[in-house]
Amino acid sequence: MRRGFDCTRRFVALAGLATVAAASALAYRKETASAALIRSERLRSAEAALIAQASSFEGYGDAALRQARQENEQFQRRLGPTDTLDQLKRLLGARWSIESSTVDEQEAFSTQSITYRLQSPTVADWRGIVQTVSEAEALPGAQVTQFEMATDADSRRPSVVLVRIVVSVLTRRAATTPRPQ
Amino acid sequence: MVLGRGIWSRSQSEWEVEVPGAQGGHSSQPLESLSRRLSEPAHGRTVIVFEPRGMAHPASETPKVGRRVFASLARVRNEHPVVASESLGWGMEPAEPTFGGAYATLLHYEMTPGLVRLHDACARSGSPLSAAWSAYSACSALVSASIGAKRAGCAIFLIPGFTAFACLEPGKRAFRVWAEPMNERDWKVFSGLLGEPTPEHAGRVPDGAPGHLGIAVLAQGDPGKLCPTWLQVLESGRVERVFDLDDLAAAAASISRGHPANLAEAFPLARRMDPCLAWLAAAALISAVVLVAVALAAKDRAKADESAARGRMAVLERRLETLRSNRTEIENLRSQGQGGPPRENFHRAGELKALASGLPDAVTLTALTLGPGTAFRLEAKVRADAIRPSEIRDLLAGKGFACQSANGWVYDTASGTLVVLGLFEAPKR
Repeated sequence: MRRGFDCTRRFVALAGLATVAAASALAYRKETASAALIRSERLRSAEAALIAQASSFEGYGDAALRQARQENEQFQRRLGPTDTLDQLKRLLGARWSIESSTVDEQEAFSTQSITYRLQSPTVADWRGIVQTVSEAEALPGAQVTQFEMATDADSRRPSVVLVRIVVSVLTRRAATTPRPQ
Repeated sequence: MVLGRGIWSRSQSEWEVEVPGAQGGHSSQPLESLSRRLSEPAHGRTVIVFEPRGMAHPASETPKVGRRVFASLARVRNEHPVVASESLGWGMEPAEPTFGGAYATLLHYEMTPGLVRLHDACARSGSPLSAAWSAYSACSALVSASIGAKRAGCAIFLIPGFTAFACLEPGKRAFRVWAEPMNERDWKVFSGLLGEPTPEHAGRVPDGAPGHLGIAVLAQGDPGKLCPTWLQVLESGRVERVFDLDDLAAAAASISRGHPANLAEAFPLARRMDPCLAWLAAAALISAVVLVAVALAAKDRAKADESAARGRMAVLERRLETLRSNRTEIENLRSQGQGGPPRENFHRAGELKALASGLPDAVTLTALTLGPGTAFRLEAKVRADAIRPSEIRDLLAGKGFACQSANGWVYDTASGTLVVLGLFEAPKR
């Protein structure tokens, strides 16, 4: 016959201590787990923010930088000195008169587009015209963007009535120097 | 051992008896003294032979059942209310067949509460009372183990202050105790129980002879001084063996505690929670260790993850720094240039030379426009008798002046006027 419960204090104390230890260990486990979770979440969100920031810089990668440097280098090579226009004027001489001119001033350079017309052209001028165009194109910063020639086609002996060229001159502005790469 | 009024205990060399209230008094006095002694802290389990004054040993008919069922029988409860008591020790010998096919048992029980106090005292001491045996039960176990119940049909106790006769024969089991000094009449009864001596069987008793089976003697000290008829008993030749208290104590200790004669089984026992508590403690400690180990491992893992994440973030920050620097430089470079890829370079002189060398004499150029871009438009007069238009077309295409697929080639045969529109492409050499 059994009635009630009987136990010794030593075992009660031991079981109590062990239970407290287990509860403490459980609490410690929970605490460390939640702390780790919080830290991990913070790091994850910080990492996500950095990734988002990095993706907002799309188009500024190393390849884009290399391309920009290359383009700039090419552009700088095409820029003529400030006296390019004077050289062009000297090259064309008095027979080429300016019909129109437009200027686009930028911070570091200027683009001038000038339309020249040859006065009293003849068929015999053809070789000289080609030579002039060739020399003009050889000037740094200068480029013949358009060429136009027309003759009087209805007459029995056609005569040249129009020779016109449009020259685009890219010149470095006097106050600026290319920035170091 | 509690035998009559005496408390027998084993010292280093011999058995000693303590008789509390030797001058007379209440029967519980020895138990009070023993209770005090048993309350002292001890280890292990306690087994006692419990035969104080006031024990009853009635025989009872019973079905062949165990102790629990026996105690639940209404007739038994009626005849022996002690079986329902929780404060009186009681036990029963295993049921044995009697004449006529019925079964009988011999009960042992207290008339007044006493054993329960010893039980409580043992529980307090830390050495719980495992079993309490009637002197009969201990003696029966001793005789069965040493001689055999068939050879020794009865046993007598010749102990100072305690004389008893136990009939061990199956079907005739009985126990008679004299716990007080015996007078002549008592000895006559005692001798009567043993039966008249039979000289013709001196030395050996035939097995199974009723009333003449062997006698086991349990004696402490000189039996001759304790029993006035000792010589006659000896001369009867029925004495099988003389045991002492050591033998009795050893026999009592050897009986299984689940034996139905265990008097202590009558008391409600508190369920021992120590093993459960020990298991609980062990499980809790193991859990604590495992949890701490898991927590430490998780902490290490989290630290490693954190370190890896910080490494990745450092890489990202460096990358961001690089990208910021790139952006600054790219914007700077763009501000220095036109932005975007450089414009196409034209070589108008080359185009003019190509055109001049490509036109045959039969074709006279009358108008030419180069640009914008690579577009061109030319007009020419053609002498139709000198060249076919298709040849002109091939010649021009060979010099890079390919006409547009639609409306790029107009040739008026009547006037010999040719108009070509297209895009100049430097010929591949």
